[in-house]
Amino acid sequence: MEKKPKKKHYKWKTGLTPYIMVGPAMILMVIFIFYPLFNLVYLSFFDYNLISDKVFVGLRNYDILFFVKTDFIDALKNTAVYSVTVVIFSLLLAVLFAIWLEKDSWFNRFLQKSMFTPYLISMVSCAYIWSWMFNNDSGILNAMLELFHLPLSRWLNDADIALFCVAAVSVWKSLGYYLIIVLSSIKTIPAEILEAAELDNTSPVKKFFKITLPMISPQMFFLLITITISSFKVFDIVRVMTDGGPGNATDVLVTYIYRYAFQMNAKVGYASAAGTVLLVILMILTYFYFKVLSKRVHYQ
Amino acid sequence: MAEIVLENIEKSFGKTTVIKDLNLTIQDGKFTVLLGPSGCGKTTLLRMIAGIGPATSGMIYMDGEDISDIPPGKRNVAMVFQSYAIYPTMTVRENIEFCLKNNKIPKEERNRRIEKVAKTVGLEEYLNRKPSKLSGGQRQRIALARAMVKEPAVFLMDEPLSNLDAKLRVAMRSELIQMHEQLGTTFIYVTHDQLESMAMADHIVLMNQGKIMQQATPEVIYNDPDNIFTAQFIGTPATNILPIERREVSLGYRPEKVRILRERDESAEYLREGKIVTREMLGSETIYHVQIKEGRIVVKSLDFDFHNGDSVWIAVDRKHMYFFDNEGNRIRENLSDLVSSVHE
Amino acid sequence: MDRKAVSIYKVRRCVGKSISFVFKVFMLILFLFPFYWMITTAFKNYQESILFPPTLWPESFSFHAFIDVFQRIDMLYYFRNSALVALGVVVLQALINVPAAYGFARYNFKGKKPMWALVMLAFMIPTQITFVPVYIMFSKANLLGTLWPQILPFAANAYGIFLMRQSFMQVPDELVESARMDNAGEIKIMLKVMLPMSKSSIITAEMFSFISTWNSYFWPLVMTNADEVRPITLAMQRLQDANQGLEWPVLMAGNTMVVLPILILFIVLNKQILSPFGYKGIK
Repeated sequence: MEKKPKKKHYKWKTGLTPYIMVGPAMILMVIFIFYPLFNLVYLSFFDYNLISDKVFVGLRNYDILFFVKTDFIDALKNTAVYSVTVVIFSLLLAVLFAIWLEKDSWFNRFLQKSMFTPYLISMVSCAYIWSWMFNNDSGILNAMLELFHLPLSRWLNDADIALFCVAAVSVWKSLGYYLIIVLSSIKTIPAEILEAAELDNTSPVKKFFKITLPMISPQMFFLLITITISSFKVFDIVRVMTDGGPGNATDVLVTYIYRYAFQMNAKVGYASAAGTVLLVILMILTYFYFKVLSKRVHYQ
Repeated sequence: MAEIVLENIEKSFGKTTVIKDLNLTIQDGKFTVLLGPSGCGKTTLLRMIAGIGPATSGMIYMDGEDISDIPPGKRNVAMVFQSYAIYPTMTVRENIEFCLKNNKIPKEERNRRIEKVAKTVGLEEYLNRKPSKLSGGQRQRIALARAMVKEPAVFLMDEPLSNLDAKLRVAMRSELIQMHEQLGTTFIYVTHDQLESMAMADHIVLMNQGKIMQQATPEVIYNDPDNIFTAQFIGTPATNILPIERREVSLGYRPEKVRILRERDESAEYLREGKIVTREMLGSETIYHVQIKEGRIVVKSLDFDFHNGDSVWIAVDRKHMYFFDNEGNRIRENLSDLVSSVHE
Repeated sequence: MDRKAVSIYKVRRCVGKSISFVFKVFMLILFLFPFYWMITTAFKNYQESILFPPTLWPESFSFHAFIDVFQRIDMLYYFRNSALVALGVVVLQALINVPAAYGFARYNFKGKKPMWALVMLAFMIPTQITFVPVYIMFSKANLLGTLWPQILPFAANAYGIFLMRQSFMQVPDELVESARMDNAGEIKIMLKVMLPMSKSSIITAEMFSFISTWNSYFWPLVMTNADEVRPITLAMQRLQDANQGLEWPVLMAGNTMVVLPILILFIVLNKQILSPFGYKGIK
């Protein structure tokens, strides 16, 4: 009894196990994402063409991007216009269709599934199909215009609308996916809340803005980020449908980087500078969304 | 068969210390109930013994052997979780067999044990079903079978009956008592239900805020509480506690020990005049709230003839009066003076 | 309410429903017609395909375009490349992402927070940013002539880790504790308790990895320098520039062969494919 109380301290014994589990993934990410990221920024300060030695040029590449050439600014503008178009139409249409197709009937389900189909098909295949439909001479879209005696359009060959044609196909491809996300989040709203609103004599419009929209705002927020990021990295569809043309009317950031890195004598340093700009834009967007928009988002 | 000793146990989650310097011996072969309000540390204690939530410091012995560092699977203890923790992807048989397989017990022995246990808990017909197809009571039995099949030295149970409906709970209660009698092993049972603990325990360990308030047999804990907490936690309605004027002492007596009278009873050591404020008729007994000069008290009586507004006398005999000091601890000496001071 | 008002209300509802129905049919056409058009064009001969206005049903109905596809490129070889790459990605992801997600979901370890922050950061960084340095890396390692550049960078997938971690975290703690008490080792807990419970989300994550790898175009475009290692999505390009005047039936025939497997997969498995998005219809 006079023994001094023995004391013993324990720590969580996890040992190496978690590191073995997480390690391979972390190493691969460092090799294929973080090291390249670092290297991208590093290379942007050099003149490098994969063959000759790197030459340090400081901010020269950025100077050329913004102040010497005009094609980068054009690509930047095109990307912004494309992204804003895609984000607005995707979100707006997804919400509208979700409300319109909310009721559970076989026809609505069939329509929802049909709209989802293009999402699973490769962007390249969709781009080929739509290129064919947009074809000036024998495309089905001009045939429709002809049928209604409307003036024919040059679609992808018209510098003024080519970018919007591409954006339209992009919205067409992914709308079904966004629709399903919005639909399923609407379904998570407890029926009692909407019933209570109906008993309070709330108009459908008010019900939507005061109850439905705030309740699904987390999912809308998620979609906003996803759509913006995927718009800024658009490549496949532009490359197949217009390859940046006519002129550089549909040239976007990634086609621009690709062209300079792989086609124009491998100006890797210069392309890296353009890539760094894209990186900065994406980081700013992500930060902006999280900081500013998350305040208005309702979380349950 | 095992005796468990906890020595200088301390447990903190981050900065908050839940249990501080706790010592406890759990007797071999007894049905011990860890009782207390939620957050008192009873489940934490159970998880320490199980080995799934180690103590921050302190020692745990099982039959004299330090088991603090032994992983839960090798401690020779079995646990029934509150949510049963049944593996939903396995059949009933696989659930029961899982541990035996892990312990590399040969197939014939496994089958023999499973048959026996399934028979005991009445699951023979359901062995090849998935748990999701079974009722709440049957799932409870899977959890029990899974613990029994290990033939452990200690059974740990964390509120195993709380997810059952009232009727089934009472039935399972007596089954568990029977099971304990048959197996004769150490049972440690956690609950917040004082009635359940009184009904099942050989030994109750009453806890509050990480401390042991009293540990004793149900009879002692009911009749001879060490402090106000014990007196009020055990028994319904709770013990009346009244301050005594000009002294830092309070008086307590149980509602069911109060005699409620139309006339004065001069023989009583404690006598007050009062007025009935509310009356709740419960069938076999009636609960009265009575206003006396020191405050409002609760009386439980077999007599249902009194009504709201009636003037009554209440009387308590000396052996049913408990005195507590200003820290809430029971005063056991020099009571005559105290008794006479509260006489009327 | 007076009768007239009720009947006006009824008529309005009826008209509204009809307009809604017509518009729905229009939407249906908008989303399904392109596939119809792809398939029917593939069965037209060249002359018919460039008719204006076009014919809605192939009058010349020929398999000529399909035969042409096989004569121009070795479709099966490219299919094989696509399949190898997609399977490689799926297998590697199963071996690497599942344990990683498990580690993040179930263990507390030093450096967990910064590591998880890295995973989330990786989730935000698209391949379109990193492709130039990765290309340089593979070119230095002399691997550009193999399929590895299309597989290895996707072996760790931040999104997949994120999804599977969610599903591992949903398994109640008590179940793991119970398994520990049943003397199950960590590997056994993972294989016997956690994986069976998270099966559906793992399959979903893997299925989407397969589809997105199968459909990929940008990455193989920049990571290959020889036809032998190119997937089917890139081979399509050779149908396009094989001839001076673009032969749409041939291109559409090739496209049909690429699209059809996934189209059929979706028609057969649409419920399973849609279920991860919380999509529920009446049973």
